[in-house]
Amino acid sequence: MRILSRLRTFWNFLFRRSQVESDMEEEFLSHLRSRARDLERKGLSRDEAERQARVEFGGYQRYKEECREALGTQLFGELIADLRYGLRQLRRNPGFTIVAVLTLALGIGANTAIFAIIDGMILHPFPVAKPGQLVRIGMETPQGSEDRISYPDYKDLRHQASDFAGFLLWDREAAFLNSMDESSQILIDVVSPDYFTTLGVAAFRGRTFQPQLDSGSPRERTVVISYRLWKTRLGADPSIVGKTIKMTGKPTLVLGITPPGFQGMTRPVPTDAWVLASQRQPGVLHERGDLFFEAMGRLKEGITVAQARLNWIRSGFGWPRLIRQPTKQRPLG
Amino acid sequence: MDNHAQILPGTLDLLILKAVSLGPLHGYGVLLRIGQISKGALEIEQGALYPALFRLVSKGFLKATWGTSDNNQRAKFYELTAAGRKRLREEIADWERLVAAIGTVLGTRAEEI
Repeated sequence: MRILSRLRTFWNFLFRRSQVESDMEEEFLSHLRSRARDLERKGLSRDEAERQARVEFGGYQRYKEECREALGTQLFGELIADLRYGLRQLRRNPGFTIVAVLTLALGIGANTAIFAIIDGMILHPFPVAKPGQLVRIGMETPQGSEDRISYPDYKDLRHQASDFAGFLLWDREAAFLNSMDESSQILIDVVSPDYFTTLGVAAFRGRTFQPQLDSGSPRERTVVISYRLWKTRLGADPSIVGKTIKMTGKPTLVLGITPPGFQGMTRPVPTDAWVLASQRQPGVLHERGDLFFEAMGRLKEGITVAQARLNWIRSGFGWPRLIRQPTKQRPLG
Repeated sequence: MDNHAQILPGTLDLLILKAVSLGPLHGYGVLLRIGQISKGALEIEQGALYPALFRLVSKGFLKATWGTSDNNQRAKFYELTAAGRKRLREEIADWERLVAAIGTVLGTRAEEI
């Protein structure tokens, strides 16, 4: 139903900014890269080219803000147009009205997600092991291409061991630290158990998650916190590992701290903490239709994206698709 | 002497529609095409392109789709919609009328501009 799809897009735009933001970021960065490359061809050094490209681009954040406004206007306008159309249709089909109204009511919910302020355009390579081996994984569905997959899909992927050394999932959420008021909102990534081990990110203190798949049985709530969160919101407490903190009202054990500089895989908005997917409602682990998670795979040593794609098609495992590799980024300017 | 003309607001939209009318382009491609068709006479701050592109999409004159660029990068491509094509025709007609009117005022024949 077109309205539901529009609602989802608008909902995503309002409350799951990470995709919209990273798309915009990717578009801008791609422009800068192309411009820098052309300037290098004209004889500038790499550094000069990158600096010049940035100067020529102009007010990066200001233009982003204007783009966000335009996008908001567009999505809102489309949504209103569809709602009007839908209302006209509903009047002709009163039996469907109740269901439709309930669906809309559930869609327009509370719980504002917080947006971390994007500060500066300093680019670094992802601080993970061998980022060049990582690929994003999406799906082809009858409705079109999707950038996200479901948890059961990811479990199926893990059986595809031949070309891949491992897979990982994450999804952005808002959570509350210690108290339930606005000021202590943080951004967390809900992740698969092998997220840290597949990325090759070792704990700075304490440990990260064990890579075994959860059975989904109830267990103690645990969290891995970011170095930044530890320093800024937890007072760099030296004995934080092993302590229980309150996250969204629930006592949660701090397993460990990630190294400084590791901010999750959603650029440029940093992650404050990581929790296991099994700590969400159990239904999420089993719903094949819930395409919530962003996914990546690590190719085995020596395997190229092209080879992996080909083998995937050959094996008949056709539906997941390798969408792109994260950019190898260099500091600009 | 500086031969670069100042872009008036509104003309950037026209240039974008014209650039994209020759074939779908990504942001940087639009910039290059504008440079080509204006023979470098019209310079803009490059980032200003993007809000204009986003607004044209929001007005329904352009359609944006993600695809792969020539160097195998994921890129967002813009192309004209039917409404966009119509808008371009109308804007060109307006522009030509304006040029003719100014020409008359300045006492020069329109063909000499």
